[in-house]
Amino acid sequence: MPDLITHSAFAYALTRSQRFDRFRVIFYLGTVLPDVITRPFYIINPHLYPYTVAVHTPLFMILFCLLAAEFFIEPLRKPVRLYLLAGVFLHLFLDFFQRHIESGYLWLFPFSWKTFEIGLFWPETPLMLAPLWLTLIAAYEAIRLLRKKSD
Amino acid sequence: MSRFLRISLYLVLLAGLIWYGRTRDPRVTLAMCLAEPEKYHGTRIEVANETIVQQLFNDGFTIRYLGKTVTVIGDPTGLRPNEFLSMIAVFDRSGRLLLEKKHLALYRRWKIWVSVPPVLLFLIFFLRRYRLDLSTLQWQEADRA
Repeated sequence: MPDLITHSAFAYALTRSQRFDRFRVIFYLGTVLPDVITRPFYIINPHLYPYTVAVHTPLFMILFCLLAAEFFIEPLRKPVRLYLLAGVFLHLFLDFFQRHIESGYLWLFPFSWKTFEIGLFWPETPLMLAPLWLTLIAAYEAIRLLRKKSD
Repeated sequence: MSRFLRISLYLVLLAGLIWYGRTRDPRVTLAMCLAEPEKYHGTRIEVANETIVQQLFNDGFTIRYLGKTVTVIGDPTGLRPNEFLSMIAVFDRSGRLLLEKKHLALYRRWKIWVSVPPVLLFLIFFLRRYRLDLSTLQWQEADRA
């Protein structure tokens, strides 16, 4: 996985349209969700890794988003499903560009144990660009605030 | 289908996937090799899962893997103690590994720590925007509650 600042920066860039205003935070949560429900467990206790094999996979994440949407009131469930899944798939899309020493993510789990990825960068590499993403976001927000004040 | 049934169904399916991933993973791990060294002698494996470099020697190094120290025979060039490592190696019945290739995950600790603030920020945004109705266990928008 790239770091979650990189994932979040891409989510931020893609959700500038006003159409996202109402459910932007759901999209953001979807963007970090695959790592949030996987990494802490085996980082804190590496013995738990085998239990997380299934979690960072498209099918598991789809089911998890469907489950999460059930904890919203009925009129919100459909948009929550949609925005959460969109965020999750943005996360998985970025992960697809990573490289691992051999086996990567199990995109077709549980139907196949084959892994494949584009292999453009190691998981740690995007961290070098995190300060750039933060600077760009800060600059964009500053300009937006100044424009708002002048209107 | 009622909400209760849907939630139950999703939970069963998710638990099933976790169980399947836990029990049916065909990949051989270092833990399996260490548990049955004779059976896995000569097996080429991937070693990752929070593996940390311990000590460096001229012709190898040691790693910390699931609380155990394992000796690796191979070129230690570029490695640093206390950094995360992933590697491909061949397991020997003596409990040692013969290194084929390696990747030192420099800055992985940084990556973990810088990943925490975005999650906290999004949780704050979420809690400002949504309220949980405890009687129904359903979130609704705070400004429309």
